[in-house]
Amino acid sequence: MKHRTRTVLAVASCTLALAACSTTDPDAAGTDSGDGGSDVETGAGVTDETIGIGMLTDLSGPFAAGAAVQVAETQGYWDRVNADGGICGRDIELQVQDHGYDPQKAVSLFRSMSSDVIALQQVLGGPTSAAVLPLAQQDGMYLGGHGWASVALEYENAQIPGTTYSVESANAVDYLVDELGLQEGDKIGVVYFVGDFGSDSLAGAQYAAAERGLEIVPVEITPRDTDLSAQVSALQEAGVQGVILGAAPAQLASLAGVMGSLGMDIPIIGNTPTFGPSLLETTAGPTLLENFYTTTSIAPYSSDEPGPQAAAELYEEVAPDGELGWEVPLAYAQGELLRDAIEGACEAGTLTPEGVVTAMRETSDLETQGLFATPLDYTEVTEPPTRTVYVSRADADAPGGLAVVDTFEGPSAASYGFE
Amino acid sequence: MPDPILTVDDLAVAYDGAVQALRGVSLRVDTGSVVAVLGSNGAGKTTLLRAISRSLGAVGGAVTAGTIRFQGEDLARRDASWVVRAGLVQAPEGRRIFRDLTVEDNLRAGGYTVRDAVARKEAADRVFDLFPILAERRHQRGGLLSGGQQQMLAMGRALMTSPTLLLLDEPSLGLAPQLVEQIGDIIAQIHAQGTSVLLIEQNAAMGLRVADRAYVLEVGAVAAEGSSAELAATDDIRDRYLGVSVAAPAADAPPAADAPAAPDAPAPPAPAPGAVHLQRSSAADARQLRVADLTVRFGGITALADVSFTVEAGSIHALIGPNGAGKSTCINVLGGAYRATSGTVHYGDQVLSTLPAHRIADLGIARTFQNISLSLDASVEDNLLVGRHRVMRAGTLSQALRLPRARREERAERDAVRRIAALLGIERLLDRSTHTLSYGDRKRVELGRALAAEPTLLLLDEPVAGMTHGESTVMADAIRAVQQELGLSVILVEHDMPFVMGLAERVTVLDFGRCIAEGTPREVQRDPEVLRAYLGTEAAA
Amino acid sequence: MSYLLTQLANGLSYGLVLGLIAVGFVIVFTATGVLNFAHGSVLLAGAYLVAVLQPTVGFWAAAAVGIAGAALLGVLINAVLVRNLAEANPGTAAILMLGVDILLLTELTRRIGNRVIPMGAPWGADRVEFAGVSLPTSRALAALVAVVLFAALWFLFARTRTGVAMRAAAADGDTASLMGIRLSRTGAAGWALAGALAAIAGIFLASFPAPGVAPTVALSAFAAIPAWVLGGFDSVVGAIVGGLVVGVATALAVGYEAELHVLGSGFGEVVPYLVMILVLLVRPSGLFGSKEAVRV
Repeated sequence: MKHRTRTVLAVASCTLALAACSTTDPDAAGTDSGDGGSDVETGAGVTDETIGIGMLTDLSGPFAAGAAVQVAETQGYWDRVNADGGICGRDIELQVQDHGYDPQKAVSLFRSMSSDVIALQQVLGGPTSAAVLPLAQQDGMYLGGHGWASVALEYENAQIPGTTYSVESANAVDYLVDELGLQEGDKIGVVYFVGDFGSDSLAGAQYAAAERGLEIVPVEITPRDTDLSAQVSALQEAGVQGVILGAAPAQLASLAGVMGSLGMDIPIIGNTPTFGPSLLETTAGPTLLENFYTTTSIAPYSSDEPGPQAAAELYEEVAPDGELGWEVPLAYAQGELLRDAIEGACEAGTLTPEGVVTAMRETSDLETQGLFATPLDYTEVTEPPTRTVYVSRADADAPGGLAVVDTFEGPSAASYGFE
Repeated sequence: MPDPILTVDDLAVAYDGAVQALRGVSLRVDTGSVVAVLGSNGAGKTTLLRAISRSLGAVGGAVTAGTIRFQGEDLARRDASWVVRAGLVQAPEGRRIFRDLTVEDNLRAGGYTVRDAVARKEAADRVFDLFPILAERRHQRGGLLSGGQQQMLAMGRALMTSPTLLLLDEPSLGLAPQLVEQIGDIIAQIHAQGTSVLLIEQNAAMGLRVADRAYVLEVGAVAAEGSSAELAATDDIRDRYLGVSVAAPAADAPPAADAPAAPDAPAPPAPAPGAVHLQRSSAADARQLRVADLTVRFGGITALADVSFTVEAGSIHALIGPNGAGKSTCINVLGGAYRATSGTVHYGDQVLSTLPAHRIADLGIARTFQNISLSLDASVEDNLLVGRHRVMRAGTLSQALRLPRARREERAERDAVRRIAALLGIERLLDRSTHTLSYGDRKRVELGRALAAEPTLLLLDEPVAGMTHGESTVMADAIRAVQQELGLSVILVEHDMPFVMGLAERVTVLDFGRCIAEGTPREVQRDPEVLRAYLGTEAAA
Repeated sequence: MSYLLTQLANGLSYGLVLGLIAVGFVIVFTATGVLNFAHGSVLLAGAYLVAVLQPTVGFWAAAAVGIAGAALLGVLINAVLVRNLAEANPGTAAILMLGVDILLLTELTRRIGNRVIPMGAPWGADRVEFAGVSLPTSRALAALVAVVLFAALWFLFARTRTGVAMRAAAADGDTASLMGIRLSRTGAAGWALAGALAAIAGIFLASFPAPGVAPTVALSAFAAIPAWVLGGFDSVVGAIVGGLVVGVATALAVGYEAELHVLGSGFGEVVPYLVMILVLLVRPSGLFGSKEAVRV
């Protein structure tokens, strides 16, 4: 099997260079990725002029705001790719459909869309992507942007952007022990949503706690719980020394707010989806600035690595008044990952959905210029592409509200086994 | 001639755009007079009142022609609220007091349109003067009042706005004879205080006693009108609405009880009972019912105390007594709706008092309710078919699949229902939706539904309440015919004395939950205790 | 001990707020016979108005506008939909309300997005201490306001002409209209009252310890449904007691989840429904629901 090692940012940085100083012949970039475009095998979604890609997102449901950020960034990304000559001599046509966080609707949208696209850059949401994943698997279609739940490791066609929630939380436990001074025998509260997301997070934390000789106090909640007073009191009663949160921003705000008001000065570490910059304006703001950490696959908006910087610059151009957050680098990274896979398929001469999946799975060492903490390896279906996370802290001055502290891979995260 | 306070001209009303309830009705109420409207059930009396008080819409009716003027003002474009504010108030049929509100709050609701608090207070004082019992019980919930007190509350509530015209719909409905008399006196008193009254009454004797003028409504049209005295003297009116024994009901004319009114009544609208044959689908015989030391308590209130009586198989037994005496409680225990606190009820060798309601129904005991409980949206036929449920054999599956056996059975059931309907004189109503029926017709449908279950013991709770004398005569005939053909036992609770005395073989009299007399109708009517507690001065006179 | 007291205090205050919502359900149900499944989105609309207005006009003015806005929204739903379309059939009306709820919720969700909009209440994240129990000020205040409102409701229904009219209309609309009571007025009053109470509940539910207004705030109305049902569909007192029962039971179940672990995790979530089912098994018409207590 041929493993490809490449720097995907080449074109993008070239584009930036173009915009900045115009030292390179613009046509050169176009032919660069367009060669051999005439004699490739083609499949669903590919014509002589265009390659269709799809995005099933939530523009009317609970995640509409974050989804809008990602749509804007993604659209900007592909416009720029097309301006540079497209891929394989073809323009990329992005089709965005709104599933409203409804799995039924997502499935029917997938059915109507699947013959017109070569790959799905994103199916946003846990239940919606869980519904579409098996169907996309049958069709051999690449599916990205579905979050970080471990269940995706069962699917060859699923592209995980970074690592899993379980590894995020295992890293969180390791970080609490190695960097934040927790001792053997200490207790850590895990407040989590039941389901693909929170339960995965809990599994990672439990594994790591067992490895490191700590005890987990699990507290199950639902998205409906926005007042965590009782839960926090219970954690305080249990005497926890740190809290890991696998939930959403509303729960983080309540958790931190109550902990602050009770004088619980202990670290809170959240999974990727727990943070939103608007939280810093709430009553929980001071506590978050004091004690909140997050372990994420994707770099935060404010990261000064070239990848996230390129994402931020693009975003400021396409959505100058848009909301800032980790969705921006994520959408950009999703674009990069898909572009790399399509280019690989083009090079292999099979510009088909299966060809795109094959190209993704042949990628063993994808350098992302800091969008992710390490290069990504997609060759093993049952292994996450990386186990290293960014650790960030809440920061009122950082755009997007988070500032990188470190990249981190703890011993439990490294040894965590997926069934 | 005094000015009319209310004139109705050529009024026509239809329900659901189809059923014509009133056609060309004209009447007038002169200022300061009492006018009574008499008529059988379904004649359109309540419809007339609702048209005047602008509350037809709530029951799906609409004025299709004619005018109603109140103090010269055409009411066509006015709503119920305006009418009340203008001084025209209706006390609805069935009293309809707010059961969960206290007596005082009921009155306050009645005085809603009076903005001035002082005026409201004065009105309340007047009502309490008129009904001292209400003042005594002002903090009690309306639902805890006895029937007569509830009627007083309903009237008091209507008087809270100090109306110039009061509409009363069946104020004596379901009341013991003594109370009917009292209500009549109160109406006279209200009138004396300067309020005009338009009164609907099934108790024609009472209606004609208090009214200056009366109209007789039949099938939606005015059949007769005149002064009360004139009408009372008319043979036809006497026969149909007053009954032969009304003027002298009890003590001085006991033979009336033994010679039921039926032979003297005009030909009933129902086909002659003999022409209709009911057959049981299975052999089941009535059994003896023995009630022994029956006691029922609700919280601290004793509704029945050590009541004992026996109903022989195949006989008709009446329970009478003042409102609140415990009659319906007794029926409710027999039907399984209430549990006995102590004491036993035997039906044959079965102990009823411990069985749940559906097991009691299985024994062949069926009942009707004081407050009618029918499916209002279903047709009359469907309501009757529901009653057949107990005797139908085909299973749900074969019915759903419409197997031949099920179809055969359905035909047979529809025939059976038709026979019952014919017997009760409601055959023409079979396809009507139940909610379009008048109160009296609903009563008949309910009796039909109970009969459809082919009971061996029939419990009837006020079967002729709200019926004219003529109608109750027909009902008595029907019950007697059914009882003889099917050989069933009947227990009935009723205030209509001629009806009870003409139909029942034995009578048990209850007062305050105790049995105060038992015997044949004749014996009971002579019992001084019964006269005092129940039949009142008019009967004793 | 103080842990138990703290959880109890939390539960009582939460229960009183649930009671405010449940009372709204009762009032709309008795006034217009509608199972108001749009109550949650009305609540959210009120809270949303307060949150977006408070940075410009200040918290108190925003609260007034939000409460009035929610009341108006209720009146509008009643006037436009309930009275015109659904009066005949309660089932249709309930489904219609579900539709209204989805519409309102979608629009509000779109506006709120994944932001959490702070309520900006002046008491912030302060806490009050008494008898060794520490309670967020907003919670203590919520309990106080709820008790005052319940007293005001009692006064309204027991002492004022409008209140008695509303009760009469609820008991028997047809008869009440014969007393000159306009059912359109009592219906509108009921919806307005329910909307205002919901907005007040919403303000507290979205204040500390909750982070602010998020679409999930609307779901708290669903938590009040068991309170409403177990109190008996048509009883204001029942709704208040039901709210307290659900609030305390939930707080204790969550607070002692570790001890209750044999019952499975996430027990707190099902407690309201469990309590509701238990109550209904013993008293099918709820704690204070009106039965068919027919007097002979």
